[in-house]
Parts: sequence; structure tokens; C-alpha cells
Amino acid sequence: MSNYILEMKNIRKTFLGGKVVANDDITLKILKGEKHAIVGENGAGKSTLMKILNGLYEPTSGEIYFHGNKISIDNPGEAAKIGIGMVYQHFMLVPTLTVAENMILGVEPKKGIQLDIETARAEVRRVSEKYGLAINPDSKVSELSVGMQQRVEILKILFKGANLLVFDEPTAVLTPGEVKELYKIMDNLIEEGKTIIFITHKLQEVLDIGDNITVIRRGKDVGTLTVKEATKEKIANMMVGRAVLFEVERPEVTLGKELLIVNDLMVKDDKGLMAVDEISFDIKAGEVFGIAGVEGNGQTELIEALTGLRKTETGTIVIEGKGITNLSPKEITLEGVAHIPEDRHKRAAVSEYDVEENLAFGVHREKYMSKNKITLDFSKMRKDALDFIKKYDIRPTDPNIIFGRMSGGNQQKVIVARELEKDHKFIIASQPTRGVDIGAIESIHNMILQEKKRGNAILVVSAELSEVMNLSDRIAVMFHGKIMDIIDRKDATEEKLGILMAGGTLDEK
Amino acid sequence: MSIIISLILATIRQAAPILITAIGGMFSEVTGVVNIGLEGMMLMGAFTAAVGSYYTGNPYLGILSGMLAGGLMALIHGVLSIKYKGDQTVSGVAINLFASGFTVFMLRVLFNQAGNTPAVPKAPAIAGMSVIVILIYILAIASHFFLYRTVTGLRMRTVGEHPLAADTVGINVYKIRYFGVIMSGMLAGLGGAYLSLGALSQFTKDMSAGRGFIALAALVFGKWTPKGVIFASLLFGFADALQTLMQQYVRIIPPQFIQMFPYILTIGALAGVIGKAVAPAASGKAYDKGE
Amino acid sequence: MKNKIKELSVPLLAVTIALIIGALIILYLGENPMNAYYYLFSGAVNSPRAIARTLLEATPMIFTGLALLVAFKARLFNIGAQGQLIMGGLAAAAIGAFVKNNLINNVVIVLIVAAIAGFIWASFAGYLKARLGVHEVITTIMLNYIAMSFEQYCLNYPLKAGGPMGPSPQTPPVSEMARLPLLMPGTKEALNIGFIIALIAAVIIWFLFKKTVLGYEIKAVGHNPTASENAGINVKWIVMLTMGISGLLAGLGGAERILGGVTQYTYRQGSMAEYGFDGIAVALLGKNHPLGVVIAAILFAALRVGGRSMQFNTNIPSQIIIIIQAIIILLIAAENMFKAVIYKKKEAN
Repeated sequence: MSNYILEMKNIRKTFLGGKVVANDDITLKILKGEKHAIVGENGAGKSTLMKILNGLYEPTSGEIYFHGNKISIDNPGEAAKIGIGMVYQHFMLVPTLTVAENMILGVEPKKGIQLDIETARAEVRRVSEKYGLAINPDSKVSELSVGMQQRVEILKILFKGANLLVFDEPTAVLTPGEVKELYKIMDNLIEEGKTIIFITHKLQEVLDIGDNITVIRRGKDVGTLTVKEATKEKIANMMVGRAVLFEVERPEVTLGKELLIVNDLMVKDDKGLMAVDEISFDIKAGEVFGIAGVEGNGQTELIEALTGLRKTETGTIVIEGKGITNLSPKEITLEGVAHIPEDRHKRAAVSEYDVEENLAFGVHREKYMSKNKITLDFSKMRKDALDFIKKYDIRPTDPNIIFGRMSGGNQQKVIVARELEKDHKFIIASQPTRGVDIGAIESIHNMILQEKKRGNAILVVSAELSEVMNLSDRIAVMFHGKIMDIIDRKDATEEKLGILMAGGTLDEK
Repeated sequence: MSIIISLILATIRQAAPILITAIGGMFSEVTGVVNIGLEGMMLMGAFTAAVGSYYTGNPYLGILSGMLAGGLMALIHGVLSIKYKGDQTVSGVAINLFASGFTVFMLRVLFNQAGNTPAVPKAPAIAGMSVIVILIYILAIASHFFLYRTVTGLRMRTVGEHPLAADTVGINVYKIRYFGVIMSGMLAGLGGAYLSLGALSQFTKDMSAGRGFIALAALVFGKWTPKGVIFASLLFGFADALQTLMQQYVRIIPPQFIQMFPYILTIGALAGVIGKAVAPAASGKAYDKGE
Repeated sequence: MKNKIKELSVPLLAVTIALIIGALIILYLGENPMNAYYYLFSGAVNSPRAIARTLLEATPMIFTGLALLVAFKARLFNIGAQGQLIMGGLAAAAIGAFVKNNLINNVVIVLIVAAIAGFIWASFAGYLKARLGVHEVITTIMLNYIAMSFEQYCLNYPLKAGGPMGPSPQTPPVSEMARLPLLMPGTKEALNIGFIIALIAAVIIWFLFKKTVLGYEIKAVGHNPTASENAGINVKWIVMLTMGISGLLAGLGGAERILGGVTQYTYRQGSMAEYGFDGIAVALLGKNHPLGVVIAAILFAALRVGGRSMQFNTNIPSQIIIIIQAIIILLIAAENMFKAVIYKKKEAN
């Protein structure tokens, strides 16, 4: 009679006729009532493994035992029936529908041929009361906060009778305050007899709330350890296969004068609401200025205004004395602004182009136009590409590799290389290591810090608090379009920043 | 006064084929499958309805065969777009070209004619209004109830907005999409059947005359809701009716310019509306679990 | 190299399957497919006259095929090639048949004006897409219908030979100075320099996308307009310009029909046939590569010219060619189906 509620044994999953091996002989054992963490880099295979557990995929080989019985999970419906429920990183909620409608999807109550919405709403109330997670069944999901949306996701699976709950990167989009709420909810669920698996890349989180940890690297499971025996360094080492530095060396640099000055900036978002609400700050030459805050508080619109992609309502942006407010993206680039965008696939690169073409993208006219003004100077493009590939350790080293086929970390290196090699005084790095493997994070952080030596102004915007704290000289927190406060590096703590990120102030003591 | 009444009746009549085709397009797009091939499905419907009526002598069987033909064309579009994840626009355009060629080809093979079929039994009319028109408006109104009050309607909307979410709760995305697409073909076929068995009593070459595309415009203009589509279709029907009327009475403007009016209106309507119209979030993207 | 073979296999497969289905239809109609296909293929190439006729028929389809190709590179669907063809042809006829001054009414100027007419007709749709987000499929189709009505108007009133009371809806012949020189006058077919111009256009388009800055930007916009905007590319301009270039090519195609002599140097009903829509099939079959477009256009032309010979010698209506054409497009649309089949074969190995 095993204590294991779930055993996934020797799971193997391949795609495209065996070309892609996502899971390679992974064994996972979960004790009843524990909080089990699964860690691994992007693309290591964690999501695939959990999709198998949830019935979205079928394993190519391997066995699954639930409560000691061998089972096969053919679809999410079956997973739900046996009591497995998954809370996804990107919520499986339809924004245009209400909470009640979302909850009952797939198991809709009927009154004849009509949808029985009354029963649906009653069910929502019942479940939310049972687990103490208050929610209004008639709210449209699009109107709920991120934390509340996650609550709906949790209720959804509890409604279907989940006993084993799987959370995929649950705290990625939450403020520190909301994270504490979630931890409390998880504890409550354990007390109610549930078991929890959570996937995360935040190693501190693992140590804070986990009981046991399984590490996955390149499709294989590299081992399981208890939280007692684990340290961040140990886990990271298992994830990457070598020792990993968490804090990069910061070059000693005296800061110069103000290079970038933003004054009373106001910017509207797509819906016409004020996303950037009278923001003022400056960045000195050689300074790393970090903006922390959960996404959706105006950071994106701020960056769009700084790069000329969005019109401002009022306010000014000045670089070394020259105003660049509302200039075109091209003009702003020529004034010395480089930009590593937050979603490289959407905003920074053309996935169908190769490395060489992407390294030239955006500077193709300035750097690579032939004298005849019509054709591109391909030999110059090639030469520069080979130079940069070497300098920035981009792999594979073939300049004609299609961008879309590279790993996240190498893709980001291409973007970083391109931007840093531009003539620039000011660089904006937005979520610079999102989706980047732990091994590459080091080198990208290094590249950003080297900018200090060049006397450039650096803006780092990141939802990863540790990243912002690691890199920045001063840290600003954005909340609902305003800067709540700007804190010096030496005074910054996660607690203080957490309060600001949730809209509080630091004077309340 | 009688001119106004006849204009209103003409509007209702002219709007009918556009309306039902647009409703069909709505069912398809609401589940996330773009259907540019409505024109071809309408044309096939018109042709097959005429042929069916000719050979069976029964216009109702004609209507049915028209709907089946449209549904079959839609099935092909569905297989290409859903199962094989092909480009939905290309598939739609291909269907249009195929219908155009096929109907002309069959005209020659079956009737040895180049331009039109002989006269075929027409659908009956009640108080001057073809029964097909009445059926169309009933279906259009019923579609609102279907989309917002039934389980299938809810699932269809889910699949179009967030197919992955639907999949994770056990809804068969592919089945729902097939349903939506085939529905769109059958309804477009019904619209075509009206053209050949309601408005006229024969099939003439290329008789859909772009109504399938005007239906698409009505769909966008109507913001993908049944109420909006009904209003937009009436608007375009009005343009069509007005144009016919003007050709009769207004001699100053050459008839060819009057003929342009519905098409110009379509462009104008789209230009004035887009920006505010929001299509279903997953529209036009093939669903692939592996993503 | 392996990739190139894989790329070719789909169009070849599509054509083969379409021909097989065509053969089945021919069988069903009670004829011998081998016999019918013999007439079909030989009818296109069995004499200098046949070859001239085939290449002449291919010319407008090369232009419209290239037009579609250019638009596809920016991920735009120019279904309006037919309308742009018409506008180009009308412009050519308007000047060629009516303007007395030979400084204006000569081949070079007339071609330029026709190209501009096509450019404007198409870039309007590009403008609507770029600034207002209106789907170019619908606008270009509407513009087609508007152009067709306009064509009817012109042929019956302002451009009609003999005025509105004239005998038939067509223009007078264009002046000598505006005509495109013939290539094979001995064959009594109107194969003219327009064909050469079409080939040159194909080379220019190849060069555009392989070597130039503009081509690089157009493709970037087609792949990823958001990133292109970020990179400082003026996406709205590119969309309008690309549609314009597309229309320009179609406009030239329309001009060739009039100035080349295939309809006795007049613009008459049906001069533009369905070449605008053929261009879609040609571009898809030619895998959006200029050389592929030329080959596909000649193939379709051969089918059509041969189809007439087939109809003459058997009882198969030439419309079957339209069916074969349509099946080819459907199969190209099902390209992913072929890819899926190829993958399954790999897995089985």
C-alpha cells in the first residue's frame, strides 16, 4: 500500500515521428498531501509531462499509476474524472464569458435544450463557499484582476472534484501580496486533503513552500531531493549541469550626469485609459535604472512611448538635451536609443529570417545599404554576423540558421547583440531573460552590466524582482501607471518592493 | 407611397440571401474558422438547387439539395482548414474558383448551355414573399437564441475565443468547428437556393454576383452578432433594392454607376467600422495541440 | 537541394492528381482520356502557331501571377488583379485609341499610364488596409465589381467606337504608335513584345526580393508587421506600396491585351477574360517564385489552348480545364495534407 498518490514511471514522449524527444524516461512520484515542486529550464519538458498527466497528450511509452492503480488518461475529461486538475500558467478562461459560464464549460447543466445558467451560478456559489474563495459568478472574466482570475481557475478544477492539483508557474503574474494569498490558499487545500504539484522556475519559491523537488533537464529527470537537503545552488546545478552564478559581478562605475530625463509623461493605452499617469524620472550615464512591478501597470506603454511606438498625451522625453517625445521609431533609434523588447518573437525579430538577416534588422538601411541605394550589402552583413556570433557566444554558429529554430537563450543573445552593437547612448531592456535558460541568463546580465562601463543609460523593466534587484542602481516601482517610489539599491528589500508593487506606500509604519 | 412599400419589400427580399449567408459565416467564424468561400458555396447552392428542382420537379427538394451542396463544399473547406490546418483564406478562394468553374462546366454538360439553365420549378410564395425568404428570417432570428442560450452555442463561442481552454475541459474543438463550417455552407447554400428558386426560377452564370463577399462585409459590420448581422444585411439589401429602383427611374446617372452602389457601400461600411469591430480571438488560426 | 525537391513535389503532385481526376471525369463522359489528353497537350505545342498562341495566352497570366506573388510576400491577398487588369486596359485604350498627340500616344507612355492606373486601383485597397485595417480580400473584390461596371460604362459610352450609338460595345483600335511590336508575325498570332516584357518583369521581381532593401522590408512586413514597426520600417507605406506594385503589374497585363493585338487592338467585352483570377492559381502553383509563376502561367495557357483543340477533336467541353485548374488550387491549399502524409511515411520507416 504505497503512500504515493501518483507515480509516473519511465515516461517517454516524442513528437514528429521521433524527431523531437520532449520526455525521455522520466519517473515522478508524488506523496499524498505533499507540495511537490518540479523545476527545469524552458523547454526541459516539464509542461509536456504535465500535459500528459492532464490528458492532453498520450505518452509514447511509460506507465501512470494513480492510488496504486495503473491508468491511462486519454483526455482532460478523464483526468478530471479521476481527480486531477491543472491550473495553467496562461489561464484557460474565456475573457468574454462570465465566471459561471467559464466554470461549467464542458459540464454544462441543461434545461431542455437551453443552457441552465441559474444552476451554474448556484454551483459557483457552493464551491466558492466550501473552499473560502469568494467570487461573483456574474463577473465577466475580462474585468477581474489577475489574482481573481487565478482563483476562478482554481475553483474550476475544485468544482470538478480535483484532489491532485497541478499549478504551472502560479506566481509568474502575481504581486508579492497576491503570492502570499496563494500560499495560504495552497495550505488550506492541503488541509482539506488535497495534494499539490507546482511547476516553477523561481528557486526561492521552491525552498519556501515545497516539500520535495524533482529536477528535469533536457527531457530527463535528474533526481529528486527534499527541500531540507536543497539549496538554490544545488538545484540550479542540477538544472543546468554546471555551477551557476546567481549574482553577477557589477562593474564599479562612477555615475555621470542625467542622460535620460522623463517629465510628467502621460500615455493612453489602446482602450483610451491613462496607462502612464504623470511619470517623471531620470537615468544618469552609467546607471542601471530598474522598474519593478507586475505586468500591466503601464510599463509596456511607457516603453512604447520611449521608443516612438505610441503617442504621448503630455510630458517630455529628453536624451542628452535633445527632445525625442513623439518622434518616429526610426528617428528615435537614430538619436541613440536601443531596445530589447519584451516579446522577442512578436516585436524584435522575424522568426522566418536567419541569424544574419535578424542581426541586420532595424539597421539594415543605416549599416547595410549598398552605395547604389537599392541593394543590400550582403558581404558586409555576413562579416558582421560572424563577428557578433563570436563576440556574443551565439550558438549554433551558422549565420544562416533560421531564427525561429534557435533556443530561447540564443535568440535573446542575437537580439542583445544587435541592439548593443547599434550606436546608442540609452538601452531599454524589457523582460530581458524571459524564456531564457538559466545558463544564458548569466551572460545576458553581464552584457547589460557592461553597458555601465560605456557610460550609457540603462533601463531594465522586469517582472522578476530578483532580476531587477540584481542589476539596478536604483529601483522604481510602477503601479497603475504611477511611480510609487524610487529606492536606492542599498535600501531595497523584497518586502519594501512588494508593498509598493501592491499599491501601498512605505511611510506607513 | 406604393414606391416606398415596394422598396421595403424589395429590401427584405434582396437582403435575404445576404443575411442567411452572413449568419452562416457567423457560425463558422464564431468557432474560429474564416470562411471566404461563402460566395462559392452560395453559387453551388444556387446551381444545385436549380438542378435538383429541375430533375425532381419539386422545388423543396431543390432547396434541400442546394443546402447539401453548400454543406459539402464547406466540408471540403473544413477538412482543409481544420484537419490539415491549411491557410483558410487560400482554401476559401480555391472553393470560390472551383464553384465558378464547376457550375459553368456542368451547365454545358447537363444542359449544353453557356449562360443559364432552362426554367425550373420555383419555390412557392406567400403573399408575394417567397417561402424561402420567410424561412431565412426565421432562421436568422433563431440563430440568436441558438448562439446565446444553448450549450452548443456557448461551446462554439468558447472554441472561437480560446480553443485551448475548450480543449482542456474536454470540448472537442474539431467537432465544433466542423459543425460551424458545415452550418455556414448549408446556410450559404440556402441563400443560393433563394437566388435560383426564389428570386428567379433558373440558374444563371455567376448569379451570386459577389453577395457572398457582401455577406462577409455584413458580418464584420454586424460585429459577428445575429442582431448586428440582420441590421447590416438589411442595409445592404436596401442598397441593392435602391439600385434596381434607380435604374428604372433615374435616367441621368448611367445604369452602370448605379450598379456600383452596393459595392461602394460595402467598402464605405467596412472603412467606417473597422477599428471598433473585434473578431473572435482565435479567428483564422488553425488549432494545434502541440503549440 | 533536398528542400528544393520537397518544394517542387507539392505543385507537381497537385497537377498530377488534378489531371488524374480530369481523366476520370473524361471517362465518365464516355471518352478516352489518353486520346483527349493527347489532343490537349499536342494542341498547345504541335506547331509554331500553337506555341505562339500558348505563349500569348500565358502573357497576361504571368503579369497577374507576378502581381499576386508580390502581394503574397507582404502577406496580402490581392484578389483585385482582375479589376486592376481592367483599369490598365481601359487606360491603354483611352489614350491609345483617342489621343491624337503622338508625344503622349505612344507605346512607352501608354504602358506607363496603364501601369499607374493599376497601381492606383490597387494601392487604394492597400491604403484601406494600412490605415483602417480593412481586409484587402473584401475591398479588392468590391473594387473588381466596381471596375467591371466601369468597364461596361466605358465600352458603352465614352470609349465606344462610333459613340453611344455605335454598333457594338468596344473601343476603336489603338493608333499604330501605341501598338506593341509582334514577335512571330508569320504565325498570324498576336504574340508580341508584351511577352518579353512579362519575362523581364519576372526577373525584376526576382531581383527585388533577393537582393534589394525594399524586398527585405516587404518580406519582413509579411512575416511580422509588429517587429517591422519596432524596427523602424514604415509598415503602412510598405503595405500601400506593395499593393501598388502588385496593381502596376496587373495594369501592365491589361495594357498588353489591348496594345498587343490579341483582340485586334480594341478593348471589347471579354478582353480581360478571367486572367485576374487565373493569376491567383498561377501564383499558388508557382509557389510564389517568379520562375515558378512563369512556368505555371505557360502550363495553364497550354491547358487552355490545348483544351480548345481537345474540344474540337472530342466531345469534351473545354470548361473541364477550369475544373482541373480549380482542383489544382484546392490541392495547393491542402499543401499541409501532403506534408502530413510525407511525415507519416517517415515515421513508418
